[in-house]
Amino acid sequence: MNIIPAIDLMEGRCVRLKKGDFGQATFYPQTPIDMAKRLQKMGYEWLHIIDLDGAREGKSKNQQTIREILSQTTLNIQVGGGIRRLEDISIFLQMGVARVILGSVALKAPEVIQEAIHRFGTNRIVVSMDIRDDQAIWISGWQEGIKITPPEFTRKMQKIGVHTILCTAIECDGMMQGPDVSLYKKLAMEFPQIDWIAAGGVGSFADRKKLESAGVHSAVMGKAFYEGSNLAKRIIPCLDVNQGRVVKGIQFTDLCDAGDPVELARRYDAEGADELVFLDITATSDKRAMVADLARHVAQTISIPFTIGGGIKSMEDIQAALGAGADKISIESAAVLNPELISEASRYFGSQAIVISVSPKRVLGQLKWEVIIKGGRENTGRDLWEFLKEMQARGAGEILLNSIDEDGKEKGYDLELLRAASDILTIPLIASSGAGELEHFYEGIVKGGADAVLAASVFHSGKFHVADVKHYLDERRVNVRL
Amino acid sequence: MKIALIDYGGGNVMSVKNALLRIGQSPQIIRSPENLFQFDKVIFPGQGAAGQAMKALIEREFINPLQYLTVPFLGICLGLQLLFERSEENETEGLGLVQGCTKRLTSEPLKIPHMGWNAVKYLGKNPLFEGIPDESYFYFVHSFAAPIIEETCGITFYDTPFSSAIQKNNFFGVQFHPEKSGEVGLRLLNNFLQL
Repeated sequence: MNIIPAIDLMEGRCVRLKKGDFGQATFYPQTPIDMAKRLQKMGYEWLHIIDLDGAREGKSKNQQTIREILSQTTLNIQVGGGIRRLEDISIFLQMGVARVILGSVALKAPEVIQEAIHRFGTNRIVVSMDIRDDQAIWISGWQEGIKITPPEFTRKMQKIGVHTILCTAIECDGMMQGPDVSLYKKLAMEFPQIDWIAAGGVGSFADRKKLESAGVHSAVMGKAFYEGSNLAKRIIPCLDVNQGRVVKGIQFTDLCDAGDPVELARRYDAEGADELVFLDITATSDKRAMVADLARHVAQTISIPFTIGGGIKSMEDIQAALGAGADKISIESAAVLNPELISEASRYFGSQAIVISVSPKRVLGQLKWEVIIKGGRENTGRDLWEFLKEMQARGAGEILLNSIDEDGKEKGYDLELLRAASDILTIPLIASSGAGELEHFYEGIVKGGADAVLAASVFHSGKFHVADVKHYLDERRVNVRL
Repeated sequence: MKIALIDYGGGNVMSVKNALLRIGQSPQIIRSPENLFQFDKVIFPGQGAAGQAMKALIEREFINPLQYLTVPFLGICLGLQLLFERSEENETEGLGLVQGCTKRLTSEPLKIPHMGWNAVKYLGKNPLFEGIPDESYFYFVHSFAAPIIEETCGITFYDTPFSSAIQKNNFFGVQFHPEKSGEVGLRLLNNFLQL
């Protein structure tokens, strides 16, 4: 598949707009030339440039930049954004641009398209079609909808000689939820002579494979390219261990010893778990040695990362667990009682090794939560948001967010809690407590904004395999490691 | 086969050792370069900060022997970054075996460290990836990343694309942790040992 990376230019710089809003522009540190050179080095042959100044003011401020890219790379460039007149088309094409992308003019003055094709050849003209629902094409920065169905429009364009159509599914654009494959499939089947270019939501490698099988051979990749949507969402089985045995109803009949944490770890690894969390709830005086022992056995058995927690209170406890092979440790009560430990531990062992597990309880009737510690026995009265911000500032690497209200109910994660937490955190968020159905995992990620979803009983009871969750998410365009 | 695992005091040597044991190898952990030239393969599992790691390598007199190594060398995570001339992290000089400077990943709007499973796209063919499908997922944990250079053989996308695998002559480097990347990771380690 021909992947066409996209860059948006504003005043000669690479920019990203949030939902098309010019007021919310983020400039990238790289110059457009550097970006283009790098893309060429990476093996891309095409570059999709949207001239935002042109789109906004009808006058390009980026011609010099485009000229420089043309002179310093061998990339084929397609340019769009406010190109409406034959003169403009001619300027870009004479500059060496491979093809121009025409939007509103195709609807408002199709004769310009016809004339351009006649003058410059159909291979140098791309018509763009932005679809929100099946009934209308949207133009002028998606401000104006014109009532015509995509097939009607395509037929019209085909009639005047158009060969290449760039089709953007507006709802998918910038959402990183994957492209609307069925839309492209329909169009490609009805109009096989058209060279379709997909845009909007094309991110993961899996997306591209789906598009290709739908008959689309080119795709513009924008936001996903810059923002790394390829980082997979993680599925994490959690194992509570007491006296060296996993507790909470384990019902696998095919395991020799269903209560053995190491054997269970091996099973989840084989099923495709992305990570494991062990919570040692044993109350004993030689706890540190027990935790280290568990870590050592697990580390010798699986080759995916794992976190170990349960009563970790000191640098020595952390050292023992990490030294025995754990990748991360999780701290709960001690993070509240001795927050300085978090600063010291993240400095010494690195943030990536320090997970803060927190169990909030909702203040009745309010959008406010308080931090509970000691296995749900003690309400510290601390405001959750303030606590999370402090942990993040002290260098915590990740937040494992439980919910006293939802734990064990299997009615889904507390989405309000997750969404609020993911809005204030800049470190990864693991959703925990409440997963009972497949859709709960999906909601935790998409609605709650979690980077990872954790569950215990649904996996232990055999209700779902890790792979079931992953397939469910993959079908709904959540990026997972399959 | 004699495999050396360099322990400079900060790396996660145990994880790599465990992974190698799982594929039937018994690596030797070394803390000084004295016998470095007797080994068939050298693995440098990096974790921690660049400044600290380079300081430890200098103190243990590893720099020169490593630069003149002729057997296959695999740098993991920080081990890849230290192959470069410089690292922005603690403004550290690297081994200088490849040109360029590793830089901090820009956070906004992304989360740092880049942690989790991400895909590696191949640039050309490399024996490290033999039998592993292009765009397979590997496990990453890092806040600094290497630029894309002539020697890049694998690319990963985060805030911008970066080198997730490089090779220059006998020097290989991977930004991800093969020892924590399940089956494909073990396969990659095995491929390296077959070189």
